[in-house]
Amino acid sequence: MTTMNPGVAENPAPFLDLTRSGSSKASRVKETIIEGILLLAGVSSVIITIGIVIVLLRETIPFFAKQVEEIALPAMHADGPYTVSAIHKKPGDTLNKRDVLLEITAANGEVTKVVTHFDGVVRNINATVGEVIDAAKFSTSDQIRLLSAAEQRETEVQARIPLADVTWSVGFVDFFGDTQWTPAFADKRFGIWALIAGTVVTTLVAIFVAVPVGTISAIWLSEYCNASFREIIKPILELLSAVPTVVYGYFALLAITPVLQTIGGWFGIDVPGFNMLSAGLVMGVMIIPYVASLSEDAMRSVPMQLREGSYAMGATRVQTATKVILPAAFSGVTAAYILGIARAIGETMIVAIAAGQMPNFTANPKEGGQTLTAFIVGMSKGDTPHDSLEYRTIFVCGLVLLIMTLFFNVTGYMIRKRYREAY
Amino acid sequence: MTTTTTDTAPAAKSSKPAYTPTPAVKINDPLKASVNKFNFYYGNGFHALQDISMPIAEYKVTALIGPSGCGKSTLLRSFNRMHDLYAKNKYVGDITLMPENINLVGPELDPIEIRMRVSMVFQKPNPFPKSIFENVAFGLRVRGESNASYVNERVETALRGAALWDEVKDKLDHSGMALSGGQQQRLCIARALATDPEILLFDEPTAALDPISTAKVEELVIELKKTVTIIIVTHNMQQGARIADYTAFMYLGKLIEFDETNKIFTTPSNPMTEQYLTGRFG
Amino acid sequence: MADTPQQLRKSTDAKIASLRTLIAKRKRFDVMFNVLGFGLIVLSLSVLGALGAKLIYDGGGRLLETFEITPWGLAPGNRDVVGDFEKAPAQGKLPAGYQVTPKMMTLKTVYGTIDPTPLIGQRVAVKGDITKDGAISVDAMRAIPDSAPGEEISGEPTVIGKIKRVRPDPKDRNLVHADFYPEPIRVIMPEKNDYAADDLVGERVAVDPGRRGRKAEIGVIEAKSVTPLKVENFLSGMLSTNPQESGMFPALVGTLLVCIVTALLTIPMGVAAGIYLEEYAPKNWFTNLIEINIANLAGVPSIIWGLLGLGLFVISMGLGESVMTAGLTLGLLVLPIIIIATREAIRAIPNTIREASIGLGATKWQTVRYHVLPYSTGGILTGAIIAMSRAVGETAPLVLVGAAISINFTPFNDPNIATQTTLNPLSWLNSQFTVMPMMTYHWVGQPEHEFHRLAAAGSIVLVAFTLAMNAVAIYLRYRLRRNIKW
Repeated sequence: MTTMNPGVAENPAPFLDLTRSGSSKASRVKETIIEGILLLAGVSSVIITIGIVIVLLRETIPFFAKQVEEIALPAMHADGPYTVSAIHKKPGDTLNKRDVLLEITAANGEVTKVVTHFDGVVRNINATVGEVIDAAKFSTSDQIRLLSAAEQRETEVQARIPLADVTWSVGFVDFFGDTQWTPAFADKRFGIWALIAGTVVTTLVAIFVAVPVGTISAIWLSEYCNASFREIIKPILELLSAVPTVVYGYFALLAITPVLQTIGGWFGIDVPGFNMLSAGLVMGVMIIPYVASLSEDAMRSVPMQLREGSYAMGATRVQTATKVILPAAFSGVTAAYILGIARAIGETMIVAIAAGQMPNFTANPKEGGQTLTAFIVGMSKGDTPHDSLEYRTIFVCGLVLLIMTLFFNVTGYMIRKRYREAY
Repeated sequence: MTTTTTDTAPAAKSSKPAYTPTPAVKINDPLKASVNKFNFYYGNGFHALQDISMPIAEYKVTALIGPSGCGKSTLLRSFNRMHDLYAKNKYVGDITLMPENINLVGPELDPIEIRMRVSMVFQKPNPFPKSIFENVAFGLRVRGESNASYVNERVETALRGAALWDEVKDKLDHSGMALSGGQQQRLCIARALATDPEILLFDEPTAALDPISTAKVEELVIELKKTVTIIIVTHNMQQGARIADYTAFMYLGKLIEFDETNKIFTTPSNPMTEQYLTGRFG
Repeated sequence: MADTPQQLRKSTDAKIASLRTLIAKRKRFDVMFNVLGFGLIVLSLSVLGALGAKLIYDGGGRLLETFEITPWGLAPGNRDVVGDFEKAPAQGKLPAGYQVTPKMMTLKTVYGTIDPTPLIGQRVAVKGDITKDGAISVDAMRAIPDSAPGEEISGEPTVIGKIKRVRPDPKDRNLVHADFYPEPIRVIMPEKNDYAADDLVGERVAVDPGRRGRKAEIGVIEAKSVTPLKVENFLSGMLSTNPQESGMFPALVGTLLVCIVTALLTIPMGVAAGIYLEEYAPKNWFTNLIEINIANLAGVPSIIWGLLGLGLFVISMGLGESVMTAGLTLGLLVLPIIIIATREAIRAIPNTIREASIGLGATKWQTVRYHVLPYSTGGILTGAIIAMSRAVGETAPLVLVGAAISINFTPFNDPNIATQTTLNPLSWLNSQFTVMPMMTYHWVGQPEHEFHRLAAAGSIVLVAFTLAMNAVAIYLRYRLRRNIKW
């Protein structure tokens, strides 16, 4: 276009209206503006990605930073008058897990040891020996803290009487070196492996279903099925992944689990109402179309000559499919598996509904467990205050999840790209 | 999906008036197969081969020549029922396989059985994405052969037979796709030989090869005819003249002339054959 | 190989015989595999069938049946609220200073004879009417032990039945007597009733004896109010914590509104991005990066988008837990799908068309506007429908951005923003909302079977929506492939 305009301007032909070159200048400006807008839209994906990373990191960094925890009189004791009978730590002292911070004595002489659940440093002590604590005087509205149980939407009001402030932080050792995940308990543990175990077990069950079924379906579609039938059956098969996952969750919890319980009953195996097996099985069905469709694409892009070569040797269709087509489409099929795995890792509703909400460091799919995704959903359902540690955990889990899926997605993408170039 | 190429045929037609096929001559050699009034229709209804009748002599090389689209590849692929891979293709007439006189293209006969007895080497080398050894052993594996020493022995024999042994004996576990084009084609020949076929079909085996590789493959074909009946489609008339014992000239789906190679290339009885051989069309 | 031709020929027969047994075996295996492959596909699809059957078995009845809604109470059918009773500072225009958790249920201090002060800090059960401003005017209230949350607290039970005929009271002209069915009782209607007595003949009504209701004589109720029962079905009914009386109308409206916001946001943006990448972007490392990036965004788990929506829209941008937030979040979620679909549709247009247009002097944008876009509309539309069907079914991100589970209003009559409605036609964007998958998720997590019926009915609606959209997309794609041959 730019090469044409000078030509128009130089042309001395009398019928050429000069205003037209003006309008073409205007249209060039318009073109530039449009291109700018389109560029912005194109770049939006990068901005979104950066946004995701920033949002996740913004909460993850404070999660691992030093924080101040208020040690309060345990809620169950918040009724009667108590006396602070001994103080074992002073400000600046280091605390280890289960160290006794101070002791309080009830009116009936019963002694309660106030212990810490984490390694930290005492910041200040808000009590003195001999001080009498009367819960009643603290039960004004500004001393009331809302605690919420993640399971119920109901909020309970409980008085907490501050005794000391302790600074501490969640270390990488606490995060990666533990198998207990209890961020909402008094004894907070942040062993991410408990959630990763749930994710891995459900994903493995799903893959165990989707890989054989998906691969064999793909072989059948690519090598056995005639083209017109494939046109019909493939979109129908793809409907399997169009069903909303919450509906699959319903199906897993209320249809598959009872069936598993019945079958388990025949063999004397007790299957709990929440189990990772039913969630994984249904998730597997959901990702069959991903595996089948992508594998079939890969198989069909294997050149016809290879098929002919194999058939010319007297091979049957199974032999051609398994001995020639599958190895030739290996990278494409692998990519299909990997993308299926990524899909299973990121799946939320099925596992949140059917696998339960109790983190469980186990490899046994029969048990209930909680995945990274189910934890995020479960935690966000409650009324967690937006600046609390519990709230940050969901972003931390999100980051771990993102890294896991990103790894599989990038690998799958690269492998797919490579096989596309191969033929 | 169909491999027929009809694009050049009309051009040939315009330069050539009506033609009458000369019936195939009788031959004295023992027969391995004979084609009798054989017709072939593609799935789209195209009548690709019309009333072909010709003998195939045992332990000889029979060459099929003719311009593009004349049906020579279609005929060759009928010998091991490759057309069965695509829906709606139809065979009419028969191709009789000796010694037991069975109809190769009969619906009652399993194409897999035919393909185990009649092997094929394609125009473009198509080694499988497997090791050299597994490529050659493929036919044996397909037959369920599990005796390792037997397989080893057959693979070596086949590779020697395909004049490839010396080049690859140290790298049998390398991928077959890493070989050069000529080596790949000889690998495909070895693959076809390993199962001891009765007929070996070559579909323009040297079309994608350089002259040196071509020469090697040609030598190989001449060597191989001691043990196997060979049918070869070639685009290159000189190649036909060099290696074939019998030659069939086909044009627009008909067999124009079949005779001994010497006869065809020196004194063809059909004027059309002469015109083709002298380069006036095709 | 060294055998003579004659020997070879002799061995042929034996060879063929062994070949045939071998082939028969292989072929059996081949047929078995054929059956296995097809069987597995059928099996996979039968899961879809089983799913449908289970949903229809559990929820089909619930979806079709109508139910009566008792016309008073806190939320429809939720007359007895149980919660912690606490004193709260007087807020806004509410005259009262008492709250029952959950917080939205503020009590008016119209207690009649009850003094509420001793109940502070206790768990209480409250019976009353919800008023328009979200407060309850209390009928009855009393402390209850924790273990009896559902205990009936009214003195006289509500009577539900049909009015057979009415006749005026012989003594008091303001009162009307009504014969009641099936119970052989007579109802003396209150002087001030919202419904005229004559209109109630033949209707099913709820008679509330109230606290002041008393049986004047045997078989006679002097009613506090007589109200016709509202008949609703699953699609038209409001949400309720009583599963017998719950519909999903607010969720249906919520889903539609969220989808509209999503579509308006994401389709123009996705198509623009697709056009840029296919028609304008230079082939360099940056474009390559965008490409990998989009492929990966398409694979980012939906819950991560929820975290993005929570962190960005709810907190940083302060949009709150609103329709707008939900629409934006789902918009970002489906953006990659639309970009990819647009690119594929554009890529299918042969270059000759672009060259023809450019060759006639059209600018790049004109080429896009008059050729590329119109020819790729079908493909883009298919992608957009698929994207919207995904948005309809998404649950996890909406849990994170705060889809509600206990609201009984649609975004058009949100009491929290009710005053703005007339002034601002887009005020619904700021409203609290809920969506169909959210309610389904909530219901499936409840222990009672009646809730599971609700969840199943909700699932049927959801599946019907998504499958219908997918079917349209499949049909469009099929037709496109038929019609366009470049």
